[in-house]
Amino acid sequence: MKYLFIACLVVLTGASVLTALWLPESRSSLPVLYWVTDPNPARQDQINIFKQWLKKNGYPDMELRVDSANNDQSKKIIQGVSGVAGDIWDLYSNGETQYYYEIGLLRDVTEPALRMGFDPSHTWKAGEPELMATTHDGQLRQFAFPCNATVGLFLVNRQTFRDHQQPLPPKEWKVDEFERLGREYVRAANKGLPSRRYFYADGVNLLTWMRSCGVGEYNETLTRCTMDDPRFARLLERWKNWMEVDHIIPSNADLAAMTASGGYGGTSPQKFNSGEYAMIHAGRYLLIQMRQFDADRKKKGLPLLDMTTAGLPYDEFANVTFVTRSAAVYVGSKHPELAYYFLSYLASEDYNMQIVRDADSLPPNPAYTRTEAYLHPPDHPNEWDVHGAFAKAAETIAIGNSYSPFVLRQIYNRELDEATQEFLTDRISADQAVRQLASRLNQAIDRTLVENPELKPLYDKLVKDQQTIDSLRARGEKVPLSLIRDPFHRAYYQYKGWAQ
Amino acid sequence: MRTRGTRTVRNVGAGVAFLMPNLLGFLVFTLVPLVFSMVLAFSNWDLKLHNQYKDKHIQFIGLDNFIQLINEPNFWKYLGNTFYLMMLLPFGIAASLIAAILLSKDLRGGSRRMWVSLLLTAIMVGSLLLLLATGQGRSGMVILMASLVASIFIGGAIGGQTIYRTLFYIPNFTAGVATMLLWKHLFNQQSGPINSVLRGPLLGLTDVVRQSPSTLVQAGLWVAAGLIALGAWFGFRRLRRAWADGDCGSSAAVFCGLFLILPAILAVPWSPLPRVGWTVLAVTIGVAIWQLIVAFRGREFYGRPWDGVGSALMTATSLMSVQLVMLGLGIVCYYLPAMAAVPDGLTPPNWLTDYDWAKPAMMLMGFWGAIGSNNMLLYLAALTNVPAELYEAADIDGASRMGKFWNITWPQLAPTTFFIVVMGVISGLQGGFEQARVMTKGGPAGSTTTLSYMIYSQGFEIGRLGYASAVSWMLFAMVLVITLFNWKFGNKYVND
Repeated sequence: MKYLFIACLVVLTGASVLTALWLPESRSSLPVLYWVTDPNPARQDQINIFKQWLKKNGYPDMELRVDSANNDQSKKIIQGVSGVAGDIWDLYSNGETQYYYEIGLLRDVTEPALRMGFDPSHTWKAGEPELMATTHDGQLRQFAFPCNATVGLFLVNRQTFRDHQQPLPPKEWKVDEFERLGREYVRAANKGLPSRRYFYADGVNLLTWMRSCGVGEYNETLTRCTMDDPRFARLLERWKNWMEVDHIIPSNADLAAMTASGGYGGTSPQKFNSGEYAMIHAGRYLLIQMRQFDADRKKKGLPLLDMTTAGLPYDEFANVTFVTRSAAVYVGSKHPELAYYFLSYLASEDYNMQIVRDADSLPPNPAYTRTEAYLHPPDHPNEWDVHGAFAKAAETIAIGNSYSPFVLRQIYNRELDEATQEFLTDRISADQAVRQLASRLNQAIDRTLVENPELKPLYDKLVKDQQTIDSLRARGEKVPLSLIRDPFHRAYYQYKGWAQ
Repeated sequence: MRTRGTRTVRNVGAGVAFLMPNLLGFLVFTLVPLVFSMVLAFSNWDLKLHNQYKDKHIQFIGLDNFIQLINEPNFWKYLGNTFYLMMLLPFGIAASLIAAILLSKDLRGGSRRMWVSLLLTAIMVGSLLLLLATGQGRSGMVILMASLVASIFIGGAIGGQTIYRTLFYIPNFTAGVATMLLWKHLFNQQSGPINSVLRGPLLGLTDVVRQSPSTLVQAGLWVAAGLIALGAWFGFRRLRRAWADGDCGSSAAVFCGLFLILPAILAVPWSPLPRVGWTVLAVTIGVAIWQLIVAFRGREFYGRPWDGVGSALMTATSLMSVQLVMLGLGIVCYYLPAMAAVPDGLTPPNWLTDYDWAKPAMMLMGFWGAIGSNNMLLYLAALTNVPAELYEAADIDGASRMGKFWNITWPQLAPTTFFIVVMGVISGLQGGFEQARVMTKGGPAGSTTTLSYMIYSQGFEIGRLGYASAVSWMLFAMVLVITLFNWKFGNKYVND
């Protein structure tokens, strides 16, 4: 038995040695970097172009490998704090940059970005909250650079409107008009059907809508939640009516009942293609799926999707929310200098034009949205009315997300979801929901300050700034933009002429 | 002497070497993390502040995490959800016991059973053909279900118990997440088979309710009230008999009796008609008093005050669950005419997206899993150990089937039931994470978030490892207290 035992030990040791030798780092003569990203097939193309770009520019060669198995946030955190995470991380617009910065997992790239040409001046202005994090001494430092950028508009299926003999939505519209046209549309489209099948849109963006009413998630200095505003409560009530009374957009139950969940982008593109949704709230990235539908349509001899866009309905202040998928360098990377080349590549023409061709959202650099290849892709004439609208919205009315350094986005998301769900399921009224939401987020801010006293000086400074802003506003005077931290308030103050 | 000593040392060394992989695994992956998590529960470890890339040190904060936990409203809500989902336990145990009893019978064909099974199969196939011929059986689901039932009958006729035992145990073979995804589709509001089945009868019920006088339908509330009182009577009678036989102590009987009164107390505020609530409370108290009067006539055997509390508590809480279900059904009956009056009539529920239905949906899935669970196997094994002589003696005494069950089978199965209850309580308190994660993400509005989901969320989504550990240890404390209670009282009864 003991020989068997020893034999097992020898075999296991041998297997371990073989595994170690088999690791890419051991087999490759080049330094190996891991890019923690999603399993999109386009990533391999992007890596191939990266290799060519390195060679063309005479930069050091390296092996870049996709790690799509560890893109989950909890895996990034656990592997990150353990010192074994991938070198380059994809970050999503969920406050990840600020969060990972707080944990200390991201490398500050402010200096290399300036040196290697991937500082914020090479990308969209509205994307700043996704690239920068507020340090404890109140400075904004760069930690990421966008892989792509997204603003949401309504993608419109013109054919669906023709089928139901309904007017096309205008390019720009107020909430009242959206509601009126939506009611008429669903009445006409579902006439004579035993159950509801056609919806005007797949949903609306609550944040954009709330901001259009002049309500922000936080105050100007991000020190207090301000969503306990009656205007937000009225908005929630109207939103619920659209789902449960007017059926302009599907309710949670309608969504849960839908079975077509396959394909890129989930259910919405499928329903858009089939005509059950006349419009979907989408970024340019959904054109990837639309192109697949078009390929199927071509095979079946059907006409291509006849698409255009419509702006999101607004109350007084037109806006769209700007989000990104960004790349950042892990603080524990063994090859940070090489990883910076990848971020530099994201700002290059080679990469940007690849995004332009693939329609994988907006390219990181807005300059490439003004090219003919972007505006009028020759193989997709049915998209010519679409691309320009996304770029224009991103350049003119886009606003980044508001991330308070005192509240984790996860907590914000959970509380927002809980409050809206409790309202939608008739547990509480809209007024109670907004009060609950603001109260819990403000409690979270207070708790952060207790648990992390290092943030207190920053908080006190911002509170003082807020008092200055409030007193200036009370006197009807203009406010210096430098005092305003929240991206929404910066844009709103400029729109209202309240900013110096 | 030296040789023997050397050999002993070598033998001990070899033994330790063989044990070492297991011991090391236990130490590294179980014991050390366990102790570590206990230390963590009293610390402020937050991944945002304390990791190898930050220079802040973890601090001992005493009971702060626990104090914060107790003051957090969500903790009590999630604890309530956990206990709510645990109400499934008595139903699951009953279902697995019934399944085990059925499967312990000889079902093999060769005689009349074979012909009955074949006849049933013929009826199924004939019905299917008829449906197809009349154009009503075109859906794949109808064909699939009919074929499945037919094959089960044929399989049962040929293979007997083995086939059925395998079929019943299948849920345990299936991977949890796959099963949950399957149930998610079954619960689909529009296209799910459950609602497809419910839709027809509900439409029929809508017609019946609309055509019936509403007072008649609402009388269902009175029927439910009667059933609650009947349940109380049954429970009190069992408690009184157990007390008289010395199986249940006086304190235990009184304590468990309170659980039987609880549904009647709750009926007062919950019942839409206050007089129904007051009536059922009055009747229940009357039943209790009557049983007390009967009890005062004397008892045959005496026990200590808390003897048999485990078994009595199980009976009482099981009955209480049934009574609460009756109360719920009664309330539904009361509102039925109003629900049927809306243009769409009675519609199947939005199982996973409705706040009030999400938890029952989870319980329904759990009930399905419980029927063919390991508990069924345990009961099957335990049933084979019940001495046949006891049944023979009971037959000679002219005992009925129910009499034999309550007086022979159920007491003989007590050790198994005790084990199942202990394990069920432990897994119930710790459970609910996978279901919530896969099916509802803890929603809607946190209605399916359990304590285990809270631990995950706090630890891995928010990074508050100290706080998450405190929740874990709070959970452990609850499991420990309930298990100790079970051991203290239930185990004594079992061993008696």
